Amino acid sequence: MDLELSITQYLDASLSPAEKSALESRLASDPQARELLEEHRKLNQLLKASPAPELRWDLLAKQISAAVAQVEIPVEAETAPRMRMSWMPMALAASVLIAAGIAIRFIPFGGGTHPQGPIAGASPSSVAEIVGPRAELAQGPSEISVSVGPAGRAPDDSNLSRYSDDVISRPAHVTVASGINPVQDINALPFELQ
Amino acid sequence: MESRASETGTPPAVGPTDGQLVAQVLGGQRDAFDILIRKYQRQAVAVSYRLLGNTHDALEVTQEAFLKAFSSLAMLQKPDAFGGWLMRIVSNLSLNFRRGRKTRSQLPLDDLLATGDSPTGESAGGNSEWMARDDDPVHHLESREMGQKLKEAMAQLPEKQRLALVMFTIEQLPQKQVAEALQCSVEAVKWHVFQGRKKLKELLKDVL
Repeated sequence: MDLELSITQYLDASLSPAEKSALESRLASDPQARELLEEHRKLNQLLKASPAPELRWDLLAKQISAAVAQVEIPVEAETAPRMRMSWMPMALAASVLIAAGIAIRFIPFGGGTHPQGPIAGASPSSVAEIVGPRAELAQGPSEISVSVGPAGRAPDDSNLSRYSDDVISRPAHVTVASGINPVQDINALPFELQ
Repeated sequence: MESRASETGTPPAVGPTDGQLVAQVLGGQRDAFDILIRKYQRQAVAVSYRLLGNTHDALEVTQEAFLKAFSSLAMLQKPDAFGGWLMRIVSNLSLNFRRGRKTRSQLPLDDLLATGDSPTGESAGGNSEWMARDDDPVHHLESREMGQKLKEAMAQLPEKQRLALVMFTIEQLPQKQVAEALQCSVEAVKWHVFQGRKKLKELLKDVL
């Protein structure tokens, strides 16, 4: 820890016992550290030298209480602001959906059909046609499997050698992808009953 | 580190928590807010006094802060953090107060000042006694000069560093409460205090 930070925390009595002991050892042998401590000690004294005003607190409390008595108890307001806050995200989401709906209805799509933008005078319905890729069944294998094992070069690399034991002990076979959409059986259990 | 609020007629540590008191107020028990006033009025006055430099303005801000806290109580997200939330209101009001500084006479200051205990040399204009009070006129003058230099140096600190120093170092509020007031972590409070001290030490190197 930075010496000056240690010293300020020492004055705030917020160092751990070990940190305090280490700092005191350093203070015993380092005159510059002692000088820094002395400067912060003087600053502390200066900061704390001014007394806060002493008032008749009982009287002040009564006066504040009397002023507060003029204000309605905020009971009625308790639910309204919170409800307003909880509805705020929903209102925002609704606004976004409405805006998105309007955008889909009127903003021209269609890639290169009208690269210069919408044609003046065209009806919105004629430029909102969307042509996209069709869903096709995948023809590939249902799974792509990859074997993982220790690389021959790893032990020779000084940066990797310390991980070589981990590499060897890790699973050697991992399924990383599925080529077709699996048929999901919602009645199937995610585990086998013994 | 313990809050100095406990020195001033504050209710003992046992009793309802701030969260329970807030719930009671929201449930219609106005008296529960009086307990919160008695518990935090000294902190509020002290913090505002450090930021504004005179008692009269600090009292105005304190009353306004409690009024604001009361009327906004239903908005308080963490009722147990009432103290930190109130100090945030106090510090915000204090920092804004200078812009629209105006004299109002709702709070009779002379009645409120404890006899013989008020900071000497203070006027509503903003002077304050920063160093130890004694009868030595030379020391008194030096103290006032030193106090003025400190005040000017404090004014040069970034806001969060100044608030952290006022609440944590000078008023010795708990770090958690300061963190709530500044809306930052306890670690950030420590950092603001450290940076503030370092900068103050640099600014005051001629007098330290």
